[in-house]
This record gives sequence, C-alpha cells and structure tokens, in this order.
Amino acid sequence: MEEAHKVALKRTIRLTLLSYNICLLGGIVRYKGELDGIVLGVLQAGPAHGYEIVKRVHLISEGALSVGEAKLYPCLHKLEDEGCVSAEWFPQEGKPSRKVYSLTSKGAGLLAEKRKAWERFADGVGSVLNAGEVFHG
Amino acid sequence: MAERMDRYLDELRSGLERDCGKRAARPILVEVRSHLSDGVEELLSQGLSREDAEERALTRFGHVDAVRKWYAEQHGRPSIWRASLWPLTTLAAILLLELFRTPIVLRTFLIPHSIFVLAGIVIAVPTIACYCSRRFTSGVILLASGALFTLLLGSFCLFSIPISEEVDGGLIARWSIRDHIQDAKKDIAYQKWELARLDEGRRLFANPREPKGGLGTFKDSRGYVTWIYLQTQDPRFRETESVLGTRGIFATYQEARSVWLSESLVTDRVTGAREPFYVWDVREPIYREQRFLRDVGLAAALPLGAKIRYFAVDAQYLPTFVAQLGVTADLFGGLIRIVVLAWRRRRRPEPLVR
Repeated sequence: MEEAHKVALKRTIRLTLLSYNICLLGGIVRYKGELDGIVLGVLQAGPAHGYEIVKRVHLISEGALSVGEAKLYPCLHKLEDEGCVSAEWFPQEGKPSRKVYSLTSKGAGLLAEKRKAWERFADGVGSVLNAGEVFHG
Repeated sequence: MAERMDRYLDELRSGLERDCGKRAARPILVEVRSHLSDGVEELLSQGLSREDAEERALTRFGHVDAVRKWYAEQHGRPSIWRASLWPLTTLAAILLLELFRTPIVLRTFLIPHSIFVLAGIVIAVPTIACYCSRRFTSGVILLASGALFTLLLGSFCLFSIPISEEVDGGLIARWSIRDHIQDAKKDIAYQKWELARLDEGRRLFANPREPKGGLGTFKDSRGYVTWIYLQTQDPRFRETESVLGTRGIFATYQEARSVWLSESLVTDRVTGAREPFYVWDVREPIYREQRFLRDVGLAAALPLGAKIRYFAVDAQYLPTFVAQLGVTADLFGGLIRIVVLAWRRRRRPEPLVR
C-alpha cells in the first residue's frame, strides 16, 4: 500500500473514532457516548446504586473503563425518565438514603440494540485495522 | 460530614436550585451526598485520613460548576430559547390568524370552519409549545389561582379584540384597508338610502291631513303601514308593538303620524341642527365612515410621530393578547405535562432483576 493511502486510512480511522466520541487517553478508554449502554450492561447483573455502578464498571472492565462519577447520575435519570431503568429509594440509618436502580424490560431491549451496534462497529474497526493483512495476504 | 463537603454540597444546592428548581434539586442532593459518603468511607478504609479522603472523593466527583451543568442538561429549567418558545409560537399563531384575513387562503373552504380552525391553532400551538418547553416547573399555585380569570379574559380577548378592525386611526386598517374602504362605501350608500326613505316619510307625515290615496306604496290591506320607518331606527317600535299588538301597523293615519312626530329631537354634532332621533341615528354611521375614508387618505402623509402614536394604540392589543394567551397556554401545557408525568409514573415498568 502506498504511503498516501496509509495516511488517508489512518485519518479515516481517526475520524471514525472521533465520531463515536471515543478518545484514547493514557491507555484508559473513556466512553462518552456509550455511557447509556455501559450503565444498562452493569445493571443487567442486578440492581445497584450509583456508587456501586461506578465500582462495577471499573471491576468488570478490569480498570480499562472509567465512568465520570457525576456524569453517571444525569445519565441514570435520563434512562429512568425513558423507562429503561426503574429506581427505588432505600433509607439507611445514620446515612443519606440510597437510590437503587434496576434494569427494566425496555432497558433490556435497548441494551440488546446497543450491543448489536457496538459489535458491528467493533468488527468494522477491527477489519480496517487489519486491512494490511487483507491487502498483502 | 466535614465542613469542606458541606460547603461543596451547599454550593451545589444553590446552583441546582437556580438551574433545576428546588423540587428537582432535593433528591439529587440526597443522592450526591450518599455517593460522596460511600466514596469517603471506602477511601477511609484504604487508610487515608478523613480530610484526604473527602478531598479525593470531591475531586473524583467533579468541580461543582461542571456537576451543576451536567445535571442542568437533564433536569434544567428551559433555556432562554425554550422559555421564549411560547411567545414566539403565539406570535406565529397570530400571524396565521391574520393570514386568514388575506385573499391568499381559500376562504370558501376556511370560512365555514374558521372559528374552530382559528381557536384550535391559537390555543393548541402555544399549549403544545409550553408542554414541550417544560416551562411549567413551578408557580403551579399562582397560575391555578389565576387560571379562571385568565381563561375568561383570554377567551374574551381572543374573540373580541379587533386586531385589524380598529379604524379610528386610518393607519390601523393597514393591509386590509381595501376591505374597509369597500365596506365603508357600501355602508354610506345604504345609510343614505335609509335617510332618503326617512325624508320621504317625514315629508308624508308633515301633512296633518291624511293624503288622498293613503301612503302609496306603504299602504297594506288593513290600513297604513308605518313600520318601514320605525322598525330600524325607533326604539318606540317596541312600544307600539306591545300597545297595538301588531308590527307597527296603525289603525289610523293620525295615530301613525302622532307616533312619528313625537320622536325626541337630538342635536346633530356636525350641522348643529335639531333632528329627530331616527335621522340622527342614521347620519352618525355616515359621519363615521366618511371620517374613516378621509383619514385613510391622509394616513400616508401623517408625520412619523403620529404614525408611531397610531401604531402604539393598535399595537397595545398584541402584547396584551400574547400575554393572556401565553399564560393560558402555559397553564394548559403545564397541566398536560403533569398528567403525562403522572401517567408515565403509573405505568413505570417493573425491574427485571431484584
């Protein structure tokens, strides 16, 4: 492959990544646009409050993903408004009450859609990144 | 909780209350407090001092301004654009309303249904806009207490304010001027015809003796018909009707004449002459329409100050109308939002996993 083609290919990949709001920062992938999907995925394992969701994301992704703590809540509230998650308040003794979120059937449907879209995207990016192998055998 | 954390939450509270309203801010703050408390506890268990743990938890959570902004995106009160959506749409509705008066719109189709179409557009458009703009976040009690008043006044304004019917200034007639001129000319012609008939009646009744052959064309099979003069101009017509039991048909010529001549006199404000009330009552519209036609001709030549003055007189209706309708629409839009939210809450789906 010519040098100009390689540059063009790299630029295309970069733009594609940017368009999906994914930026690579210090080896940690920060998913900005896909927070909804991540939250729904975490809640699939069971109901959780906000802090637990943050911890679960970190744990499940083995430190690869980091969710902005304060950004999580507006996202959860949006999903609640849309009916994708349901929430319930649990009072605690000597501590502020906790709001525990659970996945709903609508949320499960949305999660399935997001999973499919992500797989398609990941396959596409993987194919492009391995384009060299395709061209040169 | 330590002072630093309290200060952070206080700052966040004031920001959230400003952006999202007190009602929305309260549960958010409880949730944030719970989150920070969990974070501090975890960091304390890792061996950090309370001060360091709080600082790290707060840093991790984010700067108060950024946090407030993120919450405002989800829960915030409407932006200036959203808040101004209802007056803008109301104005659009009024423009549509004005459009109905132009020859552009197919009148043959619209006129039979116009009152429903107009009322529908004028009320529905801003109401939907208010619903979409989520403007109805507070002030429910205030609006509810004024709802009936606003509704009545708004309805009154909607159907009674003459947006382009006001003709006193000439300028106010604006683009519908041609219609007004035509109407005025027709009105003058009709009133003059009425006046001619009245003059003829007066001439006939001036004779104290019954003319030979009666009243010519005004005679019917039973006697002398005088209602043709009295019907539209004379309030005493009702009296004659009740006394005689017929529609102004008098048994004798003298009876009809006495009713006709006993009409009270009114001073004509242009000529200064003493005229019977029915004559004055017909002449008045003629003067009014003639004045309108004169002013219309002069309108273009009026100085700018006068134009502005005339325009201001007319323009005051519009903001009044917009304000009334806006508050009404705000009220209805908000009520719809409350109903929709309540319905959604009732239909909230059950969680899959407990």
